[in-house]
Amino acid sequence: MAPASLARLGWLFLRIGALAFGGLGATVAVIQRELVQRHRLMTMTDVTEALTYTKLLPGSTAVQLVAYLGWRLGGWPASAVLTACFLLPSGLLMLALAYGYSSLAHFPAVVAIRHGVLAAVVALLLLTMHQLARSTLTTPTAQALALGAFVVVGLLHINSAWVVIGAGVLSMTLLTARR
Amino acid sequence: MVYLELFTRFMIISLLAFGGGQAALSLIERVAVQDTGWLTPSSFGAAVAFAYVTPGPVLIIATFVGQQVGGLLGALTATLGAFLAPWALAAATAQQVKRFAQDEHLRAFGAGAAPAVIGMLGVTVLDLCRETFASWPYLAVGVLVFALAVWTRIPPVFLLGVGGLLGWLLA
Repeated sequence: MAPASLARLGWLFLRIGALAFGGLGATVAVIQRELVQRHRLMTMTDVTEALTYTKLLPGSTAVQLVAYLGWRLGGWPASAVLTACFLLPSGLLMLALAYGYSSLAHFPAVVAIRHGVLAAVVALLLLTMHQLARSTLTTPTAQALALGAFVVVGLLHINSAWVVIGAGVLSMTLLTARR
Repeated sequence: MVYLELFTRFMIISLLAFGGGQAALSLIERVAVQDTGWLTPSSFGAAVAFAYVTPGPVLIIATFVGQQVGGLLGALTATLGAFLAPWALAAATAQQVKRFAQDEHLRAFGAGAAPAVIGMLGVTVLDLCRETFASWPYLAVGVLVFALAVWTRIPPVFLLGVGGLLGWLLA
């Protein structure tokens, strides 16, 4: 890919990264608008295919969607550059917020506001958990694994990594046993 | 060395984050609050709020945790740790060197790991509840925001704003 076109794509993915407010759904919507409709760099089928595969991989699906489409646009170098561009706006904003938080966190007014925000965060997390549960916990096995992880981590304080690996291995064993 | 620890811990989190970044919040809370004590529960809550108000992926919380623990270099190493492996996996899948994603063992692993991650999110929410709803007025704030989130289309940024405003008035 010519450097000039990579620079143009980089600018486009910076924009996408800055506009993708609200998780995976928003990222897909912005990518569809910018890459598919406005610039016609790919079709919606490409985006759907990328989503199908990246959803199965561990990690942030929004970033992996960009990594996958970036590879399709220009191989490994383009994938690296475009993924970095996509992450840059949120990374810089988060860095600024982190520095601001460090220097302001002890002010009484900020402490008071934070307590209220925290209450709102818990409410939003409950809703997120409900949405995730509705889309993922669709089989009795999945429900049992979720409940099991909740009990094991909540009561026995077993390291979270082992719990996730254990659940994965158990699920793989069930697959083999079924044959 | 704290930078290496930030890098490896976030890489492990990212490789266990079946079910996307939002579910991985539980893994981040386990590591950053419970295991290492890098953040207090209330700082973690602030980080989640920042993740809601910034664009892009939720896992960008890694930048916040890294900065709190190790400044600019900490932020860089944590962010790199959180996204390097998932990026490589996704690009390799696009290249079809190997159809990682289609491998039935990986799919079966993911089908078991994702529910476990969601179950752990329940523990995270419970921990934050204990931290936040110690007094009744804040429980009322939480219920109000929950109701607004369910029955209106007000974006999360404004809901967090409502929470902050009420917190300020309550103090």
